[in-house]
Amino acid sequence: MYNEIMGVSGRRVRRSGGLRHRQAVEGYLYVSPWVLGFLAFTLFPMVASLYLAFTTYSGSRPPVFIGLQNFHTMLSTDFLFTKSLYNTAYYVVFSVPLGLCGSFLLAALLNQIKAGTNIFRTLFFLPSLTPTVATVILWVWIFHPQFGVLNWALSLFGVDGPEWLASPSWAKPALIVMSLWGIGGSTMIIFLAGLQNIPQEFYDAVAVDGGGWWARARHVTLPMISPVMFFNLVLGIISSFQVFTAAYVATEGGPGYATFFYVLNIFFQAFRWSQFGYASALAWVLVLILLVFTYLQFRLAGLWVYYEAG
Amino acid sequence: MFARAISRRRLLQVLSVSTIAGALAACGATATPQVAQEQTTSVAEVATATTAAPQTAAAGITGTVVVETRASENLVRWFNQNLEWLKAKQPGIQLEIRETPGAEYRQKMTVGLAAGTLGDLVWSVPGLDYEEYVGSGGLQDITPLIERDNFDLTQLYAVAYQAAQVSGKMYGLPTLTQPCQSVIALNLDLFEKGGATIPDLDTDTATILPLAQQLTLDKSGKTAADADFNAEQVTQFGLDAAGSWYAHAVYWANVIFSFGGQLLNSEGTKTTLQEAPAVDAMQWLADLRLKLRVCPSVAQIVQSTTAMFTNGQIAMLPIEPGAQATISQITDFKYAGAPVMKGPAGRITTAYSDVYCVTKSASSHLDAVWEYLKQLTSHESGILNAELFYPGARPDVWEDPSLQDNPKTPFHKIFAASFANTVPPFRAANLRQLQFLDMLTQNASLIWTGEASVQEGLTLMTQRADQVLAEPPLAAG
Repeated sequence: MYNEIMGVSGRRVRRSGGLRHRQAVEGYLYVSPWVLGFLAFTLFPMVASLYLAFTTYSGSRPPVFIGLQNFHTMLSTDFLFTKSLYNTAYYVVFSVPLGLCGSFLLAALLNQIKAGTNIFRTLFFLPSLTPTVATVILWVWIFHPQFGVLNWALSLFGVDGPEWLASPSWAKPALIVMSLWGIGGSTMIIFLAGLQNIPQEFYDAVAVDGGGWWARARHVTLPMISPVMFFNLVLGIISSFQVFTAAYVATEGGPGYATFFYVLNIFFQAFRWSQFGYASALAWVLVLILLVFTYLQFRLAGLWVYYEAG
Repeated sequence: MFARAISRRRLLQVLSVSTIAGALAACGATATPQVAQEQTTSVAEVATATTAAPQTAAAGITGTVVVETRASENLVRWFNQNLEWLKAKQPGIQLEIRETPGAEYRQKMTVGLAAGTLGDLVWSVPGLDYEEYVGSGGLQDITPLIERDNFDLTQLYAVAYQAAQVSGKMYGLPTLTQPCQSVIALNLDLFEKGGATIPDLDTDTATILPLAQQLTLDKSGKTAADADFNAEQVTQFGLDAAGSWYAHAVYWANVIFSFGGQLLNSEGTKTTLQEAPAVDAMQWLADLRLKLRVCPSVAQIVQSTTAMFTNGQIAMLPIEPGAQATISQITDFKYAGAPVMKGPAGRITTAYSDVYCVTKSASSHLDAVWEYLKQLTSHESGILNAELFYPGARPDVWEDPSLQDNPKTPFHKIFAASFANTVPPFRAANLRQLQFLDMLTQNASLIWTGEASVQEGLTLMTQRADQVLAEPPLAAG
């Protein structure tokens, strides 16, 4: 009886083991399209580019391993590396804070509006839905020194507008202004969600203590929104380091390399000058830069990001 | 029994298996499967074509020629018509045309060359990207075919076929050649209003300046020669250089040549931009824009310089042959043309050619590709090209009586005559052509915008361009 029971039980175990095995196989099958896509289109190119970063590779000939030569060239003689890194850093330093402030202010404004909220949200969000190339072409006209609306507006105040995109001094600021076009996009929506998650009781408590708008902002809004701010800051810096389309369409990196950003440099090195090995090395340096920046931000987050649970 | 419902789980399983199978099939497929299907030459023939000097091509050649081209109705028409002509001699040759939008063309070709997925014939331009294509190793040396068939290169302009030779080897044949901006189109309405004399055939860099000043007007009608001329309120420019000479090094290089200068030393290893003729040429160009204010800056161009010319905002416009069709289409517009001004060293422009290069994908059916390529460079092909774009790379097309006095190409004779004053595109020894030119173009814009003096700009350009020239050579194919 015992054995019989055990026998039955053993078969059950085997059956359930078979079922688990089958379910596991099915599970792998279900995820396999994504896994295959990831392997073919993400992991393999990444590994390949890591290898290419240590080679010279100009096209259809096999890459030749050259060790750290690409990195040595980059750090010792390549003017375009330092120039593009400087341009990108300049862009990041100005566009990220301006963009974050703009998005936050728009979100705060929307948070205050009681009527027609959905209409305003849609209106603010619409510009970020416009294809980037179309937006850039529009801005090229806005910045036109003679016929652009911006210089016309400046002339109403007696200001003689600069040549914007055609000027080595003004092209970068022009692209930074252009980047503010998208402040009503996803960053604003995330801020808005963060603002709407702040419990009203906190504001009531400040009011009871006699605090005004500044006290509410300083002691409630900013601490409570700081995790969202941190999230947007990390993503904002990463995406700003990858600025490409606006410069490619509006200026092709000019004039005088004034808007030759880092990713534009990678693109030109690879697809215009056929230096795939060097371009891969540049790309991996960018990965390292972004990792360092992100790590530093996480280390510094403890100083200013407030987590309620903590 | 076939009505059994399929479960979601089963559906997912089937889809997953299908996806994996599809992905594996895609990974395992050859890059150009059509070649395998259409390859009708024998294995022995292929080996001959790829390893040793090929035997004489005979009639009865078969194969499908795959052409990579920028998307253009005219180009497609040209390719198809050439196939029709060729079929009279070689009925077994077929054609497949792959169109790519112009803005993406070069990137796609670069990647395709690296991946080995391109068709058999690829368009490029010596002096710009041809050298880099050759350096990538993705092109087929067709010199043995030229020698085998005794193909007469002298039926083409020397500047055209010489530009397609790299280290004595050819990787394609020029199908179009044009003498760059060797004509200055004149807006006769503006000349009449300004009481200016129409330039004769011997205008030079000195005599064109007062003319340009006379034809440059500010808002109050003062000319650029007047003392109280307001350079900030210009309504009409005497000369365009912004859309051309200031746009890219390939254009202002011609001005340097006319002044007797060069961009590179004869070995193609060092820039010579700091030598006196080059400095004078750059100073002349900078003065046009910054001192005399007779031509618009890049920022002052509205729409295009050709549009500004036909709208009466520019009096004299350096043009390439392709601009003739646009200008001649405007009704009620009086215009004429003159040879571009001479410099101290003469009247010199660069002849740029469109070369159809043979890729290594063609090695399995090289004879078919070669026959079609020869057809593209034929006289009849050039005449058709003249109707669609501008004449091909053959003198006998440019001088063909049927193309003289064509109202659509009013400056044809001046362009044809200017081939006598053309030079082939210069070449960097390490074949890093485009990188070198891009470096010059970007840095020159510091001069054109007044951010740097001519001397400062040239020092910077020399320093940076020499770095490009010092880089390891792209290995020639």
